[in-house]
Amino acid sequence: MRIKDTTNTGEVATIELDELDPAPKYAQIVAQVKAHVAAGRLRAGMALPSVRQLAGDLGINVNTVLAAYRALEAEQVILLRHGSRAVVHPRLNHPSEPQPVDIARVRRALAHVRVEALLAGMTIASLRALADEVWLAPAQNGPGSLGTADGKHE
Amino acid sequence: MKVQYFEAGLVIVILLVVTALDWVMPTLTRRDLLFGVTVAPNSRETDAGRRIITRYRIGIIIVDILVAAGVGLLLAFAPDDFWRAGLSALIILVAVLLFGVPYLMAHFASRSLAVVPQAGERSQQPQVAPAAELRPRHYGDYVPLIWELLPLAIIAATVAYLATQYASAPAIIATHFDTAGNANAYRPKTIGSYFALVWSQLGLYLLLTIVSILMVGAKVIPGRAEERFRRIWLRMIFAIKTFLLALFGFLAVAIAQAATGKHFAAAWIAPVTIGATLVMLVAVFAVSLRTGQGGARLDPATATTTDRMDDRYWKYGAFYVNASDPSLFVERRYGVGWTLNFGNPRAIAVFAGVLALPIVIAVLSIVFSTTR
Repeated sequence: MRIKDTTNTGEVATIELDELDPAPKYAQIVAQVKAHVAAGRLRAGMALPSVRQLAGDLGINVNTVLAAYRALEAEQVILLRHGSRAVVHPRLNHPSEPQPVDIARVRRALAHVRVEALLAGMTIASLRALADEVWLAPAQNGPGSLGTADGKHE
Repeated sequence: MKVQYFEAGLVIVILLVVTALDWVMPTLTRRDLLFGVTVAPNSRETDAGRRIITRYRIGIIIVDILVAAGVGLLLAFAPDDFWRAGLSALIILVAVLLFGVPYLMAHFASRSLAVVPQAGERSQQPQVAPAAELRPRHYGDYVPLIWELLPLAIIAATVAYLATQYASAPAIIATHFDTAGNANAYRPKTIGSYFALVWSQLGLYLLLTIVSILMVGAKVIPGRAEERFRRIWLRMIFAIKTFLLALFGFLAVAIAQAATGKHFAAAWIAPVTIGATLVMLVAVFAVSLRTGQGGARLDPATATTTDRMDDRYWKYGAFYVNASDPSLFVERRYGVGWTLNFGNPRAIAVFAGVLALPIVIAVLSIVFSTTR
C-alpha cells in the first residue's frame, strides 16, 4: 500500500532495495528512480529527499545515495543543486529528440536484452511482442508517463 | 494543608499515571516486539508471552508499593525542608529508575521467544527489504508552520508584560511560593531574575522545536500508519510546547503581580502547575493508548516491525546503537515515540545539547543577574 502524498497529488513513489540482488544498492536506486520518472510518478521539478534522509530511511551509507544521485545527474534524470534539494530534471518537462548518448545507452541495454532473450530461446518475433507488452503496460504508467500508446515520445 | 502532605499526594498521583502507562505499555508496542525483543507476532497471546507480561505487571505493582512505602517513611521522618525544597521530585526519579527493573527482567525473559539472532550471532536473511519514500519530509508537512506563531506570541506577550512591570517592581522580588501562594524565597531584582521564566520559555521553545524537526528525519516504513502516528505525535509535542509556554507565562505574570502586592494570581501558582502537569500526563497517556507505538493501534494490520532493525543493535531493547545507520532518531522498541541512535556521533551531540540546555539557561540567568 502506498501512502497518499499530502503535498502533491497522486501516490508517493518509493524505493525498495533487494539485498539479495547482485546489483549494487546505488544501481538499484538509479534504476528505480528512472522507472518512476518514466512512469510519471516522479515529474519534472519534483523535489527528491535529501541524501541524508534517503540514506537514513534505507539504512545505508550516505555515500551510496550520493553515488546514485550523481549517476542520475550524469544521465540528466535529476538535477543536483548546491545547497538545495535534488529535483527531477526540468528538461523532462519539454522532452527533446533523443541525443546520441541516450541512443547509445538504450542500444547497450537492448544488446543486453538480446543476449538474455537468446539464452532463453526466444525468437525475434516473441521478443518484439514482449517489447510491445512492456512498453504499453498500464500498471507501470501513471499520468504524465513518458510512454504513450503509439510508442511515440511526446 | 501542610506542604509535605500536598507534595506526597502529588507524587502518588504522578506515580499512578506512570504506573498506568507502564501497565498498558506491553500492549501498545508492535505485535512482533515484546519488551524490545523481536518475537513472532502472536507471542503476546502464547502462554509464555502472557506469563512474561503478568510477571512484569506484578513487578510494577511491587515498585509502586516500595515507592509508596518510601513516601510514607519520608513523611514520618524527613524534615520539612525536604518537602519545601522540592526534593520530592527525586522520589519520581527513583521510581522511574526502579520501574526499569521489572522491564529488564521481562526483556531478558523475552529473549527466549526471540526469532532473530541475538548479539554475537550471524545475521540471517533480512526480514523485509529496506524501503523509502522518494519525497522530502519537512516539519511543515506535519505541523503547519503558521501554528508556530502561537507559541511565539505567548513568549512575546510574556516579555511585553514583564517589560511594562519591571520598573515598578521592588528591588527585592519573591521568586518562590508555597502551595498557599505565600512567598518563601526572594532575590534581588535583575534582568536575569525578573525574566527567568522568559529564558526558560525560550529554551523550551528551542529545545522542543529542534527535537521535533530532527524527529521528522527519523526513518519511516512506507505504506503504514506511521505517517499518521508521526503527525499525531508531532502535533502533540507542539501542543505540549504551547501549553508549557502558556504555563510559564502565567507563572511569570503571577510572580510579577506578587512583586507589586497583588497576590491573587500567586495563590493559583501551585494548583495551576499541578493541574497542568496532570493534564499533560493524562493527555500523553490517552494519545499513547490511541496510537500505540508507531501507529500499532491505528492500523493493527501493519503493526509488525519488519524494519530490518536487528536486535543486536538494541541494547536491552531500549538503547539503539548502530554506527552504520545514518539515522539520528529511530522509533523506540519499547514505549511510545522515538529514541536516539547512540551509534551516531550527531546523536550524542544532540543528547549533550539537551542535557546542557538547563545549564545554559542557568548560566544566562547568572550572567544577566549582574545586569540591572
